Amino acid sequence: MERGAGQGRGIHAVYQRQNRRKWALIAALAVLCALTCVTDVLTAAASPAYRLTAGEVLACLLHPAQAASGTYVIVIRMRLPIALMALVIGFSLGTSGAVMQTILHNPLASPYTLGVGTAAGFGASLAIVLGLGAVATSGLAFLFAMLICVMIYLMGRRHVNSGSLVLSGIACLFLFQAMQALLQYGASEDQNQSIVFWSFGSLQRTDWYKLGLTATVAGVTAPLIFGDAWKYTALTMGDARAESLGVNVSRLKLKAFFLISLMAAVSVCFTGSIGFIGLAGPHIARMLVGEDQRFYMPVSALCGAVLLSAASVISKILQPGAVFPIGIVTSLIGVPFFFSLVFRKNRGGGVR
Amino acid sequence: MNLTAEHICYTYPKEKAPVLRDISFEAAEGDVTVIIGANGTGKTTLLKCLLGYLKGGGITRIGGRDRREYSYRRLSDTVGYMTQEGALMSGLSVLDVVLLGRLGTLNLRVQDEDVEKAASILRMLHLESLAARPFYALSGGQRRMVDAAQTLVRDPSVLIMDEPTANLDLIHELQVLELVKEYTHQKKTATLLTLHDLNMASRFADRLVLLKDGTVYRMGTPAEVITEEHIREAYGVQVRVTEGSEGRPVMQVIAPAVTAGYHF
Repeated sequence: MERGAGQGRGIHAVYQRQNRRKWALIAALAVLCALTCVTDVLTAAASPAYRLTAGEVLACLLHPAQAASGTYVIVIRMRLPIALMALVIGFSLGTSGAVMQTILHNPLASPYTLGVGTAAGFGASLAIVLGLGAVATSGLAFLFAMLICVMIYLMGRRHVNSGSLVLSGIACLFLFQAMQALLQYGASEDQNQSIVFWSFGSLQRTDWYKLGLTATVAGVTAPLIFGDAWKYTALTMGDARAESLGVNVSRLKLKAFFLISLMAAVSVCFTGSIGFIGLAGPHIARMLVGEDQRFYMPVSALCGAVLLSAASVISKILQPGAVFPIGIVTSLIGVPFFFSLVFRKNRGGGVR
Repeated sequence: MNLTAEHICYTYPKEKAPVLRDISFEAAEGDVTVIIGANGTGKTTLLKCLLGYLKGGGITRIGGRDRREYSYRRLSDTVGYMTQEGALMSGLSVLDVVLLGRLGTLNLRVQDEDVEKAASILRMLHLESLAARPFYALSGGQRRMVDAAQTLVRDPSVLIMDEPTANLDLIHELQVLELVKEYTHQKKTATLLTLHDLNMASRFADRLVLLKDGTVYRMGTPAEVITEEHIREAYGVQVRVTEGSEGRPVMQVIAPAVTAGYHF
């Protein structure tokens, strides 16, 4: 066993160097998150009457107690929770997309493509049509998002192959879309407007309470997911292989589905459907760090956070004096990604 | 730790005839036990039954204890199983794939010991130059070698390998089997392989189990099992068996297996 130990140390050194590079990348992405978030807070959305200088905003962030009340309201009550929410939601969507792609062995799986966002949209529309109020709107959105996750899980348990599973998700997406259209058909004009606005996907409804809830869910579920990283890595080699390596595959999938359903459902229920973050995050992560899930999952989460945060900035500067719905922005950014996924030359984990 | 199979039987769902009927044998520790038999006699099915992936009748004992008494974790720590099916085309590096064999001990921060173990197995199989290559970029044979490395790196007490030499050329076949044999003798593992190449089976097995029609047709040392009569009965092929090195039988096909009757 000791023969050629020098060469072994060579492999070792290369491995450690690669790992260090990947950890550094994670750190860099975290810094990038902080930067886009600060930019987001500094970027004005409202009419020019409330324009604040960067200095005022930063001063308010550092010493909130000493800020003028108008500035305080704008920065602490409005911009900051929205900016942080963009990070948290992006993080959650990036994580749940990554997990879905790994356990379904399909790079086209994401909360959006499997219909989680659409189901939430239907739930919200139902609440709006029934006139149930804001809490119930989020509540029903959450319920329907969970429901579709349960449906996907149950289909997956019956050993349906991953391709048909993704197709079933897409079928569910159309089903919920049709049902939503039906609701809209019978809804009043006011209700219709609310439904349309909700389904655009927007961070503007954020407050500290919603942020706290979303962040708590992300903060509890993400470590549970990242802690199983090696098991997920084993899963990338196929369910049978993972099983032979000692992974209790059905238990891991149940746990994963429960956690990401929670994460994705909480994310979409407050903001509406924000597409493509859950698809683009994992895609970029795979290009950056490959399949080792210890890096792939956090990188996907952080890419999601950066993307959504950047989209939030873009949504504010696109149209002076108003906030462009962020769901539209992410979809416009996402479509090129989708195309690159489809047309990309095959590599490990690519579309097959 | 030895492995015993007691009255293993199995029938595939929706089929009437059983694949395995009442199979009993022992794979002793420190021995390489090789299961041979024609295609479709249930070699892979037997391994899956022993491991509990397929639920049939009979009892598997590992180190004297019923397999069903083992926890999931204990079982996967004790038994290394190399499947016949290859893995999905993964973008993981070869080193990562081998490291996965040590799943039970891996932390988020990989311990030096695990990397050392993986590197040393790769070295023994002369695969160290491939360590950083992505798994999907390997040839079929190289992938099989990496699969073998992944199974051996876990240091199992019971080693079960289903056609470990499929897709391998002569030299690599010898490399893998030599390594498995040395490993078995040094670590005193109970090793159970299936092989399709009878001469290789004869050369490397301490004991052979010849299956026919879902039963153990013959069992014993290679010299006891590989005889002209047994091969004719189990495979329907006329062979000549001569004595090779270490008194191990070597066989040679002397008549076409199927009488002429092909018309193209």
